[in-house]
Amino acid sequence: MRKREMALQDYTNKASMFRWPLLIALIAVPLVCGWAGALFGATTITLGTVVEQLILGLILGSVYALIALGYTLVYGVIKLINFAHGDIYMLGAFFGFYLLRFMIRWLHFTHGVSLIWCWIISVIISAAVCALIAVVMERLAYRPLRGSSRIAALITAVGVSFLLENAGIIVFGANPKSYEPKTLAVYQVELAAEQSFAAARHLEFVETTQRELPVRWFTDTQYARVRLVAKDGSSDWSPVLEITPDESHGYVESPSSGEQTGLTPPASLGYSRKQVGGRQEFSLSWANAAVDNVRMRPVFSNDQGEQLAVYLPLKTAQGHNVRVPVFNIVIVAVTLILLWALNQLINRSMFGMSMRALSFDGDAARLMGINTDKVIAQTFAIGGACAAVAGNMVGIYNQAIEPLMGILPGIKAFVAAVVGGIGSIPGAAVGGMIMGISEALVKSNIPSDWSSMADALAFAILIAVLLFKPSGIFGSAVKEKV
Amino acid sequence: MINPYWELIILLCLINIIFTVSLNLILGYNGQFSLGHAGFLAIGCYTSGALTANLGWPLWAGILMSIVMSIIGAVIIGYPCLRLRGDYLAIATLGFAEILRIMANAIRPDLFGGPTGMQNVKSFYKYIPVPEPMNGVGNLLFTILFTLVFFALLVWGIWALASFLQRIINRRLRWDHWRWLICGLVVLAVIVANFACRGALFYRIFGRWHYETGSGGARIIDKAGIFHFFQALTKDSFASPQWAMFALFIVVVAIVTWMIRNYLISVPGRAVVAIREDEIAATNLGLNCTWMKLQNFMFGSALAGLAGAMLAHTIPLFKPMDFNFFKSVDVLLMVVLGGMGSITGSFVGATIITVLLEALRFLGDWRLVMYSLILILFMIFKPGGLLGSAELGQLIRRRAETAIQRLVGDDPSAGSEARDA
Repeated sequence: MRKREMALQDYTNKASMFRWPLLIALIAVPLVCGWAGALFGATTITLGTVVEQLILGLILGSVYALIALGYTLVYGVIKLINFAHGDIYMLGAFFGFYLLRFMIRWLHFTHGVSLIWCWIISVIISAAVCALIAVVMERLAYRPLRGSSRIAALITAVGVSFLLENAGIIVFGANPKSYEPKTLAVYQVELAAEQSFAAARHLEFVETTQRELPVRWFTDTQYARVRLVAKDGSSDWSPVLEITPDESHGYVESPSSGEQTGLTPPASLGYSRKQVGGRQEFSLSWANAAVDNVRMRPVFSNDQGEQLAVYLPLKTAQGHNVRVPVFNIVIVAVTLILLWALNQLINRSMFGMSMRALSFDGDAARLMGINTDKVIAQTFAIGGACAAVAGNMVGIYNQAIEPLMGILPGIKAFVAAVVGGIGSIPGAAVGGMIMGISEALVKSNIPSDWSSMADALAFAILIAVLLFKPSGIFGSAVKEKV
Repeated sequence: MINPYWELIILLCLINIIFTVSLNLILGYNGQFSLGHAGFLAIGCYTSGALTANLGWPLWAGILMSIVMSIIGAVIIGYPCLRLRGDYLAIATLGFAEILRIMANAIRPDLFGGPTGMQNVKSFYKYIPVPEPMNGVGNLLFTILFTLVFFALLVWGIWALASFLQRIINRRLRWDHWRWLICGLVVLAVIVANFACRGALFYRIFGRWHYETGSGGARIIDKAGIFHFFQALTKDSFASPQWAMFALFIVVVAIVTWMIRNYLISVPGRAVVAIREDEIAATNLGLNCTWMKLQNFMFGSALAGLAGAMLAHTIPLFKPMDFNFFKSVDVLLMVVLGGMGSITGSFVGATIITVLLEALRFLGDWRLVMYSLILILFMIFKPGGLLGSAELGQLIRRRAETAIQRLVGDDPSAGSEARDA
């Protein structure tokens, strides 16, 4: 017990040795750069503008901090730059994308659960799935290489990252997707052999209006109808479409009901058969639902569909009050809570202690009876879950998600981990905030055609840190043993 | 005469060999991890391209400047990172390459062409004066040379695959000659496939020998093949100084290889390898590790710059997106596949990957998935690469020793077991 306390104290002492000069310099330099840029950009600076940019920086910084956490934990434990971590973040965003739709369909539409709860549940599930994926990745790709050189492991990490990106392009499509649904149309299709739809086959499609179906379902005459499902219940069924085996196509139209309000079924339903290379294909298609029927409000909004926001009593350069969407506060709060919880976990729990032991000396830890494989897997799981949470929050913040979205934030987050001192959680937090704030300040103050150069800033910071304090803000210089 | 498409691929192979060797020097011989090596290729490409095409510099000055610029870049990025141990160089070079790419997109579109890239760089073809009567013979000779190389690689590849399978099958079913069976099956499969598609496989490689004689002299009808032996002494061939390009590139590759070989057996080269093995021990021997690593990094980057300059004058168009992270991964895979710390391995790796990337194009989107799977599986099952750290000479010597042992020794199975283990 005594020994454990000492180890804890040692750790917290190290972490609390704040490197003020470096920290101040790292925050001051981008501030000065940003404001110098603003002088040339000829935008007037008010306190409101600065606060707005700082808030933007805090949000970016939170995301970087959450991703950097995974890097820093894994690097601390097995000394591997897990390049695939940025792609776990991407996967998290995409799982959240699909889960959110699923949850809206099954919880919001049918049980009236609020959108925020749908989102929270989908975030939790996608975090769990990403944790699992991270563990599987560790088990399949990294564990076989535990004994071989570090370069082999690093190259494997690059390979895994490459694999996830390209598989993501194939599975999710290369085009950006809108994370929050602006509209969500759920169509129910019924197929049956009799017109009474007694033993009907139920199908449900989300946001699609055309689907290939197996030809063997349509060898004899079938009847089909479609309806729309939305929050306020479902529409009437469309008129029944008769699908005969000898006709190549056919369709029915719903009667237009003029002034009718409320849910209307899709305006038409049709089918077509065609020969494609000696194989018959059957597809069923129906018209898009009226947009008013399927429009969704943002997740964080009130009943009128207005985004929840807080106004600060500060004027921006344009003369209106600084507006802070509630979701931005959620991002920062969730990040802080997660960071605090993890710091407690690392410092106060048995698991954290075995993790620290492992990062201190792997062989000795194994000899002391720590199941190192299990600890490493858990570390990967924690990192993956945090990245998934970050991915889901960025999904709502940025709206657009795409399979290659993980590369640049991943690299920047690693830089953040290095800046903060790799292996330390407060370091990841502070490093992430520094990166985020400096990026936001530079990005919003330099001329817009140069804004891509803000990405270069991260690496300039990295090189500066490596030049002057390679161990980072919270890191302590480690003597390598012979 | 070689099909122009495949000519470009062969030239790219030769450029990639220089590029791969340059990374192998850093990664394989010095153990430093550079993940943004495409950045140095970009420096070379853009420097030489912009200087010769847009500022009117002579070719030699452009190439020289691209080497100088790469060295300057290497110092900027290498000095902060190489003082430290760890993977900092990887992330810093990665960032450096990204910065360069962003800059090439944004800065001076009149000079660097912006996002659409540079198209006005003169090809080496424009610089090479070639006597016409030489062309036919030269092209024929290089066609023969590359056919031999192609088949040597093919045979070696089949043999390596067979040996690998032998080792696996032998665990269950002991028989020393599985590999011969497998080789025979592959050859049989090729012959059957060739018959099955009525000789198309053969035509795809050698072209058809049906040619028509018209007003412009004899012309090959079918241009789908790679090695047009039957076209080598026709009018098309006499008009094309293709052989001069090959000769130029091969000479450059030979000089680079010779330089690296000399470097590696010299004092600094051995110091660099010593640092890879144990940096602390090397320090205790009185080596200035930072300077040695930096020197090596500069050398490697200079070669990458040279490769870039050659690339600029070979391909018709290059743009910033050509030098993204994927390019760095490509060259990394070339080094790893061939074997880290083996020049021969770099040759093999660069050739295989360059050809494979072209050959896998029919897979569409799946191409890069396959590619990354190959990378991962390779690292898991054969982290040393195809050749490990052995050079060609060592390999031949080892083979010869085994063979002699088999002939002379009393127990032939002992030799085979030692090899299979």
